[in-house]
Amino acid sequence: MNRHLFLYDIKQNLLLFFIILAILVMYFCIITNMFDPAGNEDLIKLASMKLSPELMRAFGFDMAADSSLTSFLSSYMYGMLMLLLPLIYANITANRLMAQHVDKGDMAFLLSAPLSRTVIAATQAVFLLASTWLLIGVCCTFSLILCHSSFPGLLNDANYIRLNGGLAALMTLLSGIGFLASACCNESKWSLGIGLGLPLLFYVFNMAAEASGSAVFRYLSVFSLFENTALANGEGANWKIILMFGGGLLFYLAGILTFRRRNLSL
Amino acid sequence: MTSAETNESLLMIDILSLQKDYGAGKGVFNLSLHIPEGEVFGFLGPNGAGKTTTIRMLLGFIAPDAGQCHINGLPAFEQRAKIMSDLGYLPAEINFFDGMNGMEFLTFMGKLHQLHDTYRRDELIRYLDIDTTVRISRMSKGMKQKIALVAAFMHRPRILILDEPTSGLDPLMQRKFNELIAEERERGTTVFMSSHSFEEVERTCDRIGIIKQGHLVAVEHIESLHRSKQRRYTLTLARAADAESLLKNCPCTPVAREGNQLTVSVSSDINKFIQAIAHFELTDIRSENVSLEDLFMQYYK
Repeated sequence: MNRHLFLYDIKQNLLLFFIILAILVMYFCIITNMFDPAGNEDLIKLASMKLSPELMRAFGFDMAADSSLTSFLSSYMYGMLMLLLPLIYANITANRLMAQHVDKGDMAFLLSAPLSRTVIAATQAVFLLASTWLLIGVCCTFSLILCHSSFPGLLNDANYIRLNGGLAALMTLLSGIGFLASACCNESKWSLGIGLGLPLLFYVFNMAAEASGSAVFRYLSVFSLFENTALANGEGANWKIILMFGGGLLFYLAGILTFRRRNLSL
Repeated sequence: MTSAETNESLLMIDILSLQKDYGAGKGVFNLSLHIPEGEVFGFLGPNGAGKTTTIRMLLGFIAPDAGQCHINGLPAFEQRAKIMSDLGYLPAEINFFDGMNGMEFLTFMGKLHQLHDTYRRDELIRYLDIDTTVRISRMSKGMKQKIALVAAFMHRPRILILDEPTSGLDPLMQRKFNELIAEERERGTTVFMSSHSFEEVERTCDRIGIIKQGHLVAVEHIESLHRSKQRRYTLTLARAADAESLLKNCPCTPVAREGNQLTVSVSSDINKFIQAIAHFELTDIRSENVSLEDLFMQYYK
């Protein structure tokens, strides 16, 4: 881990981090304020006028009229927004940390320093994972504070935190895919195409699986390992969380090992 | 000098049967070069000859298909990080990081090199007359070249690998660069530099190697080249038909022929040549200066 490279990474990626964070904070404010402790039939009726049941399920709006605040949030925030926006941050950043340096040619200067390829790749990996977790952590903390002040006592803290833990595991896996693609590719277009494109494809499969209930699409998408509804209710399998987390770390490791040995077009 | 004859530890850069095949004749084929400590070596060749590929393998950016290269006794690919602590690199195509100005870049590189003493860096900035407040996105090629030069020299490395170091520099800066190299030679630095410019190489290098289509075609000491420099004469014959007879009887090699004018090069004793051509009727004789460039252009054909 190289401190100077890490600080440089922070400087370079701060803007994107804050833009995504700002969008998410804004949505948390809006969505949380839409919650009605007395019951959400009106809200569902309003949404049903525009969206068919299948389409509603595809976007993750899957809940009953008398759902709790925790389920409400898991449905409206953790069905789409908290999946896509951190993914976009993580996998765009993943490309900028490795493949873009090779594509632009400035990786040559990093390599002209007495830094091993392992240290370079590991520093980038740690930055990517830490900043992605931080994004989720800040959102989770903000949401907890917001719920406690707007609807004190209505949020099941333990379940909500476990929900965010599951999300962090999913993001470990997805950002791991982005990192591996970035470590393997010489050009940004491939690194982004695979690193961001593949998880987005998985998300589309997930939407199809939710809308149609088809088992095929569920198996094709890693998103099915993140059970937002179940986790919000205190259920959900722990092995799925561990699998996402472990799988993600394996992708990161593979990225580091690949970068060590491959020929770089510089 | 072969590896066997030279003490291994005195070889700063040791390239042995290096091979990298990109197909269609592109690449580096069975290249061997042994550069002792303190030598300034010029690596000449046309575009696409394999100079940058060789340098990429020396720097551990790519691994060879076959053969090996060692720098300061360490294998180039596996021990790149360790080698870099004592090596300065100037790339041919200079691409800096985003969002920095010149000084920020040099400070960043200094931190990566664990450079505590910035005296040499600041001295070089003054010497090359660089405005380090300019943002990288606004820099001209010449400015980038100067910044990159400072980055390569500032940690006082024992080895310098410079890829086309003078392209993009104006004549004044080129002269300053030559002085820098002369200074480094005094310090005993080993320099490996690839170049298009014969003049630069002639002025600064101890030995020159020529690479053509991936093959090393010649390696010569500058001194022996100067010694064997041929003299050229353009003879204007009274009768064009005499040309054949002259070439047969005189100790010279033909270079060019146009009507009555015959240009020959003479590497042997000049008196024998003069005595031989005295038998022929000439209307004019002119001597030409052969530069190192002309000499090497032969290898380019």
